[in-house]
Order: sequence, then C-alpha cells, then structure tokens
Amino acid sequence: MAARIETLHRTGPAPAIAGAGIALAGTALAIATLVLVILDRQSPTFYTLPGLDAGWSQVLRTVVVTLGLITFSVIGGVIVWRRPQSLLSLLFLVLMVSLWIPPFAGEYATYGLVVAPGSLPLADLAAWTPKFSTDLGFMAGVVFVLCFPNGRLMSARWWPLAGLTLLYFACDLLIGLDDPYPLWVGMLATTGVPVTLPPAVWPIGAWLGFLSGAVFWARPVTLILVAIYLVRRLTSASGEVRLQLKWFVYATTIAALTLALTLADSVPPLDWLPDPIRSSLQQFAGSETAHAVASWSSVLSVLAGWVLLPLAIGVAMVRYRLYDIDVVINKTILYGGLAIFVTVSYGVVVGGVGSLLGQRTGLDPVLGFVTIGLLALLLLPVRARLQDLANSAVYGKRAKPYDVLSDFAASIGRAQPADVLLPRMAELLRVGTGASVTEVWAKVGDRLQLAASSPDTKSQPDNVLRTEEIASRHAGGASVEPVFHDGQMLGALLLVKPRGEDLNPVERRLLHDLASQAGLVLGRFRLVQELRESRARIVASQDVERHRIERNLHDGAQQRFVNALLALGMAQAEGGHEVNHDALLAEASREVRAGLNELRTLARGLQSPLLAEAGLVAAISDLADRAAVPTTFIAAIPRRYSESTESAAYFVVAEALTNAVKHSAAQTIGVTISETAGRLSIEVRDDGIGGADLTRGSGIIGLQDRLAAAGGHLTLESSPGGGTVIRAELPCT
Amino acid sequence: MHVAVADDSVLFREGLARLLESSGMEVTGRAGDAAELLVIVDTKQPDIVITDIRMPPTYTTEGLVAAVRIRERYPHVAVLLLSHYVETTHALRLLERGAARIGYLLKDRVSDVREFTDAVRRVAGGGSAIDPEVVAQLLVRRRRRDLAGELSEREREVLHLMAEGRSNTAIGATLHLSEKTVEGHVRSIFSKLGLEPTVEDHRRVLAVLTYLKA
Repeated sequence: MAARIETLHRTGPAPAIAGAGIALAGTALAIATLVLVILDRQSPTFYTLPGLDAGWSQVLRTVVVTLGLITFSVIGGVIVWRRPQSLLSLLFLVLMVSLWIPPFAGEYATYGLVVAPGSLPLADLAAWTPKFSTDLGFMAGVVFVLCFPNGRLMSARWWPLAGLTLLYFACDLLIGLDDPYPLWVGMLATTGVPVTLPPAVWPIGAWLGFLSGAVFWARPVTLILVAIYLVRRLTSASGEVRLQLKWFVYATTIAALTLALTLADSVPPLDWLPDPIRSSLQQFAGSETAHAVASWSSVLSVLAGWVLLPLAIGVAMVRYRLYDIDVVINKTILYGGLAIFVTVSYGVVVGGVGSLLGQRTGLDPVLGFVTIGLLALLLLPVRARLQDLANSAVYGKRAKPYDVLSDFAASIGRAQPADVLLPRMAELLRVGTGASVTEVWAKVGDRLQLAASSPDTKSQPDNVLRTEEIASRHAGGASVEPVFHDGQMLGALLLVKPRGEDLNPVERRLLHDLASQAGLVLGRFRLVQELRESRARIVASQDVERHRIERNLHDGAQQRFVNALLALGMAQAEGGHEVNHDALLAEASREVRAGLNELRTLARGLQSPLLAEAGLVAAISDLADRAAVPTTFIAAIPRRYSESTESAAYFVVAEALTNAVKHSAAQTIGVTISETAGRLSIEVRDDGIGGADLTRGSGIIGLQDRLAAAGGHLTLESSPGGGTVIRAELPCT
Repeated sequence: MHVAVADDSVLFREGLARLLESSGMEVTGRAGDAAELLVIVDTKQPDIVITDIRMPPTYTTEGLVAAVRIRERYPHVAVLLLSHYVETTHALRLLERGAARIGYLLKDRVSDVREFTDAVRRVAGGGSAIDPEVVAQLLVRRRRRDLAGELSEREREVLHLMAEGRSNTAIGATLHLSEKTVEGHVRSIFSKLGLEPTVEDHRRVLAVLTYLKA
C-alpha cells in the first residue's frame, strides 16, 4: 500500500457523478435491506432490548442501522466527490461496502433460507459474506485510522500494526470455517441461518481452534494500539492536521467507548486469572445489568460508529475549517457527564437504597422525592466540576484565578518594567480565563495605545481614541474592562472568548480584579511612554534649534564678515586710489560691526547673559523692556534660585512674550512672577485675540517638556477674543 | 572676459562684481538665485560663472545643482563655486566629469584679490582651482589610511598645490623652487602613487584628487 500525500484536486463532473452514484446506491441498498427486514419480520426474535418489547426493539435497531447505512453512503459520496484521488477515500469506500454487506446479505439469506426457502438465488453465499466483510471492514478501518488524515503513517514503526490486523483478519476467517451452523446474520442478528459448509473444510477451523483465544484478544489489543497511535499522532500534530485529527479522535473515542460497553456481558476466556476475580467478573457478565448495558450500548455503538463517525470523518476531510471542534468536545463532556451522573445517581438511589428497603417493584414516592432533591442539590456543583474537567480536557491546564492574581501581584512587587509586566498581564489573563485573545490598552496622552496582547501579535503600535473602538476591532463578543486608578481612566483590558463560550462569573471577577491591579502598572507605563515622547520631542527641538542657529550664523554674521573681507581685499588691492580706499575701509568696518551685532543677538537668544549675572528679575525686566509690545513686569521674588529653575522660568517668559508679540496682536502684556509655598508661579497675560492652542506650535510643547524636566507644569487659557494667559509653576530649587 | 555672478546677498554680489571689474573683467550678469543664473547663462553665454552654493529657495545646494546643469549644457562655460564652508563630497561631485573649467573655493578667498582673480582666470582659461581646504581634508583622510605617508614633506607640499590646480611655474613660485625641481618632485610623486604622468594641469588635478579620494 503506497503511502501518499493527499492533495486538493480540482474536482470535475466525474467525481461528482461517482459520488452521487455511491450515495444513491447506498441509500437504495439501505432501503432494500429495510424491505427485507420487514419481510423477515415473522422470524423468531433473538434478543430484545431490556425495557422494550420485541417489536419496538426491532424497530429501533432497524431505524438506527438504516440511518447509519444512509449516513455512510452519503458521506462516502461526498468524500469521493471532494477528494476523488485520495487513498483515504478508497479506504473509506472499502469500509462503507463492508458495512453495507452484512445487513443486506444477512436479511437476504434469512429470507432465502428461512422465510421462503429456495426463493432467492445464492442465498447460501449471501449467508457467508457477513463473516468476511466484517473482518474486511475492521482491517480497512484500522488502516484508515493509521493513515488519517494525510494518507501517511505517522512513522514507519507503525507498519507492524497494519500487519497485525491483516493477520487477525486471516485467522478469524479461517477459524470461522470449523462450525458454520447456524450463523447469526441480518440487520438484527436475530435469526440462525442454516448454512452447510462442505465437511472437507471443517478440519481447517478445528485445527486452528487453538488460535481462537489469541484471536479473541487480538481485536482489543489492536484497538488499544490504534488508540495509543491516535493519541500520539494527535499530540505531535499541529495546524490543520491537528484540527482534522481532533474531529476524528472525538468521534472515534465515543465509538470506542460504546463499543467497549457492548462487551459487558461477554465472558472472555479468563482461565489464567485468579479465581475470585474471574468468578466475580463472570458473575457480572452473567447479570441482567450487564446484559442491559451491552444491549443498549450496541445500539449506541451503531449510532456512534455508523452515524457520528462518518459525519466526523466527512467534516475532517472536507469542512474541518468551518466548525470549531473544541466547543463540541467541551459540550459533549459536560452533557454526557451530566447524563451519566443523573443516571447513576438514579440507579444508586432507586436500585441500591430501594432494594435495601426491600422494595422490589415500583418507585416509592418518598424515594422519588429524595432522588429528585439529591439530584437538585448536587447538579450545580457537579456541573461546575464537569465544566472544569471539560475545559482542562480541551484547553489544557488553566491557572486558577487566584494563582493568576497572586502571580501578577508578585510581578508588580518585583517592580519589573511595564514592558515586561504588561505582556505578562495579557498572558495571565488569557491563561486564567481561557480566552482566545487578550489585550492591554494604555492611555497615553488623549489616545489609547495597544500596550500588550496575548498571543503577541507583534504588530505596529495601534492607537484609538475611544474605549468603544477597542471592542469593535474584534468580530464577535469582546469583553472590555476599563482600568481606573485614583479616579482616572488609565486604560482597558480586553478579552475575547473562543466561539460558543461565555465568560463565567469567576472569570468575570478575575478580569475585574486584574483591571483594578493593572492601574498601577498602566500608570507607570503612561509615565514612561510620555517621558519617551517628551525626550523624542526634546531631541527634535534641539535639532531644529541647531539648524536655526546655523542658518542665523550663515545668513548673518558669516555673510557680514565675508563682505568685510571683500571690502578689505579690494582696499588692499586698490592701494593708491585714495577715494575708494577710504570708502572700502568704512564699508569693511560697518560690516564687521553689523556681524558682531548679529552674533550678540544670537548669543542672547541662546542664553541670557543677564540671567546668570543679575538673576531672573533683571533678565526678565530686560526682556520686557525690549519687547515690541508694551509690557509690564511685576516680580515678588526675594532671592535667586538654582540655574535650572531660573533658566526654565526665563524661557517660559521669553517664549510666551515672543508668541504674544508674534501672534496675539495684543496692546499690552503683563508678566507676573511670585513665590508661594516653595513653588515659583509665572503668569504671562495679554489682551490679544486669544485662540491659542497647546497642541499647536512646537514652542509651547517645548516649554512643557522643559518645565516637566524641572518638575513643573504649564497651563494655557486662551478663548477666541479673550486674550491669552500662560501660567507656569515649578518648584523653587 | 565675461563673468556672471550669483549670490543671494546683494552686498556681496555687488562687491564681488566691483572687484572683478576693477581687475579688468566684464560682469555681464548678476543673479540672486540659481534660476536667474540659468537664464543669464542661456542668454548671455559668459566665459565663467561665479556662484554661491547655498541660495534660495531651500538654501542647500542650489548653486551646485545649477553648476552641474551648466556643465552639461554648456561645457565651454567655466564654473567657479563659492561657499562659506567646503565639503569634499560637493567638490568630488562637481569633479565627476573632469576638472577642466572648474573651481571650488571658500568665500573667504576673495580677500586676497590677486590670488582670487588669478584663480578666476585660471578656471576660465581651462584649468581648475580647488580650495586648499578641500585638498587638506582629502589629504588628512588619505594620510589617516597611511597611503600618502611615503611622500616626503616637500613632495606633500607639491602634491597639495598640484591638487589645487596650480601649474608647475606657480608651484615653483609659491615654494621658491626652480621649475625643474618642481618637475622632479611631480615625477617622483606620480611614480610613488603609481599614477600615469600627465602634462595638462586640469588632468593632473583630477588624477591626484581621484587618487586622494580613493
């Protein structure tokens, strides 16, 4: 059998026709089988389902098997249509045919040999086929599982497993040759069909009889090995293969469980077991309970194996991207577990306690109430436990909410930087709530900035203006929890659950608690971020400033001095021509003086010489005197301050004055400086047109940065037509 | 000799024009920016253009761009670029198409009228004038890599003047050497640097500058 990679092929009309043919043929066969079942109905029934009478048992079994046959046929048709060239499709068809044959051939044989003997041709052969086809189906099924979903074995080591099933197939077939009469065949396996085998072949079966014990065990051993194989393949798989496998493993698990339960009343050859265990096992196998479990499980196993499994295979091969298997598994564990819990509780209370009280028949009303009461009491806690179990089975281990919180508190305690803490917070939140995506947003300035996300998207920093925009970035339900600290909105946490899951109260509380702890970190993040931005602005403004100085020097002093040189050079060259000589010297000295003036102005713009020599009051008085708009200056400061404080104050006034003169069209400007409670207050007020804006103009932002560096801050009041007031405050040092 | 002058400072432009005229040249065009200069060159075809590098509107390299354009369109028009500071990259970009009829000098050089007008005449006459500052920068770079290190002190002086675009006679006059001695130094320099000896001054400039910038 060549292992090959299944690839997506463009499907033409041929596979579609083949697929439709297969589906139609299978359905027709199922209906034909159904007709034969009805014709065979008067045959003696072999066993009925405990709790149902013989007639209804037949109906139920017939319906279930017919449903399974049709499902298999339709899915087989779809697979052949969509994946015509796949090895898996071929195996699936073999499996399908091996499932089709036994019910039909069995009913055919029953009719031809028992109901109306001699009425149908080849009834003998038909009676035999189920034996082959069951084993064939088993073999095809195992190989299908081994090659699922990409047509290859996980590794060559597993080839012996495929060989083992082949061996089993051969042995089982040959052993079957010993005693052919009667065969239990048909959809309901209720009729012994008298088939006579040529006596010549009997010795084969008899001779191989010693193998029957081995063959009995070969089946479960193979199944266990296949299960191990599947688990290993699932754990090592990733991406699409893993998605496909999940569907398959889910259905297989359920089918295997129900199949295992059908063995409840069989007595295996257990001679090697010590006696007490063996006898109690045999006693259980012989009990009515075991019989009931086995009978009903056989119905369930047909449903699981013939309906659920082909559906899952179909989804896995054709549409696995469209449905989320995790939710299905999760809910199955939850509701299946609840059903088992309710059934078992009922059985224990009614059966166990009832028999202790000596009641054999009927349900005592008191006992009924007790049962319902107990169930009601236990249902919610059991449901919560089951949900935990289901979550851990599907999503792996999730941290307990309080582990998450204490982990995070410890991280904050270790004073890690925000760019470590925030991704950690996003990750903890995701692990703690089983969310598919979590994000931490921080408020920086007037925007919300994506500070961290889990899984880490590594995208460019994202900015939004309002909290609502955060949630709208995600399709489906996102929970957003704003983060407040000292009454200030500092950011938000966002959480997106996988489809079909809701935030439970514990997780909601975790989100809330984490949000209340996040305030500190987000506050820190904001400070760092604002500092970073302010630094970038300072560097940029330094560049602008350097450029301005260079331009000033180049266009001003440098030019003047070159002109002076030119005049001097010419004067030198003229030598004797006196008239020009004097004029040229005068020109040179004029240019040098002008150049010096330009240099002085430039230097004063860089740093006021007066400020260092005579202090803030003198320097600002000088500024006010030289301002182009009449400016009054009131100073109530008794002393000198540190260089950085004086310089920051001086530049606030200088920049504010420059702005007022340039932009406000003011008539008068007032400057006030005072010291109160260890803080220096500066106010520059004009009566101009107002309408100034903090965010516009690099000058004011530069001042803000400069003040922030000195530990102060700046406010601006400027309504259109109402003049402008700039106030600054900084600590006196 | 017809000269066009371009500089955004009126004072400097007029001063320069006066200087050139007093030295017997005819200033046929005065421009305040590169666009005006290009119009003058188109219409009046001067023998030489003297232009500032930094001019309106962006005050970056307008003069340089104009110079490259003039050399493409009118190869016979000499270009002398003036600048407040010299940059070897500017100089080398200018010399990409050869050193004939090219000059690149600091503005300060106008103070030595004779030296400056000599340079103007040299460039207009088909030679070159490279500011000693440029040569010094290149030499520093080169010496840092220890390649011109094998030249003697005297040879390095000769190399310097040669790179500025001066003739052997001028070099001899500057260094107080006979022309024969200068020739000997030049030969020795060329053989030490592994360069093909050339006779024409402007080819010599290019060879030396190319060697220095490599």
